[in-house]
Amino acid sequence: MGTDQLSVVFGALADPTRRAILARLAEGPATVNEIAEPFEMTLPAVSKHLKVLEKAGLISRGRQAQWRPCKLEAEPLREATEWMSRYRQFWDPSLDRLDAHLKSLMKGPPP
Amino acid sequence: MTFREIEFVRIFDAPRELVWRAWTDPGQVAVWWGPAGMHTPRETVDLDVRPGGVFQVTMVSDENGAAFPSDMRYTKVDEPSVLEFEWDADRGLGAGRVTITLRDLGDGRTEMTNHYAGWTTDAIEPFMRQGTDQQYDKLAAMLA
Repeated sequence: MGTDQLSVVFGALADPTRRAILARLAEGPATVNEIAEPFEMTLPAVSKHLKVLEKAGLISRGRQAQWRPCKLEAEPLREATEWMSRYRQFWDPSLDRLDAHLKSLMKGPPP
Repeated sequence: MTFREIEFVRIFDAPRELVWRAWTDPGQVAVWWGPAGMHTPRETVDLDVRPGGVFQVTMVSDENGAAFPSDMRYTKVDEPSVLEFEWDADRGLGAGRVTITLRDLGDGRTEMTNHYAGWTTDAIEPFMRQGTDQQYDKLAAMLA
């Protein structure tokens, strides 16, 4: 992934509607109309979100001019989640210990 | 160099003052700081909790005793709600800033938000490729 591509991926993921679109596409490819259905949004608004996702490499679109079904592309998500899991690998065990420490303080005499 | 940003939230079953002290008292930081397989000896913890003050800890591998010193600086100290610290790019890890925000939930619990923003260098990339087994759990959590 290029230097700033991951930033583009995180930017694309920052929006709840786009995350919902990705969740929908995780079930299988869909047309713009199918994607738009659960949202109270115009087709152009949905298309705009799809363009952001496509630019981030998170989805690809079919070549058939009329339908152009959208498909989830897993690789950028994999790289993004890899980085996040690395960050969480530091913090999760630390914060588990902090949690246990706080619990023992709450139970025992005042520190 | 790549810009990265991440935020996550954790709730502790303890009042905010207690969580704040756990973050700012050296003896308490030594108890909990560090990833799995590492511990942080009390004598390596040096905290000068004020803007510009040092935030130094040395993590030691449980397995082979290898030491990993961290040299950070506080950039914002707003007791008992905001603690911000950053480190520079000298050690090949890239520069970064962590903002810890503590919110009193009013029922004896405290919500902690951990926000990271920074630049990573290519040197850290191999480390980032470790532990990819968790990634799909994280993906699921992210999409939830």
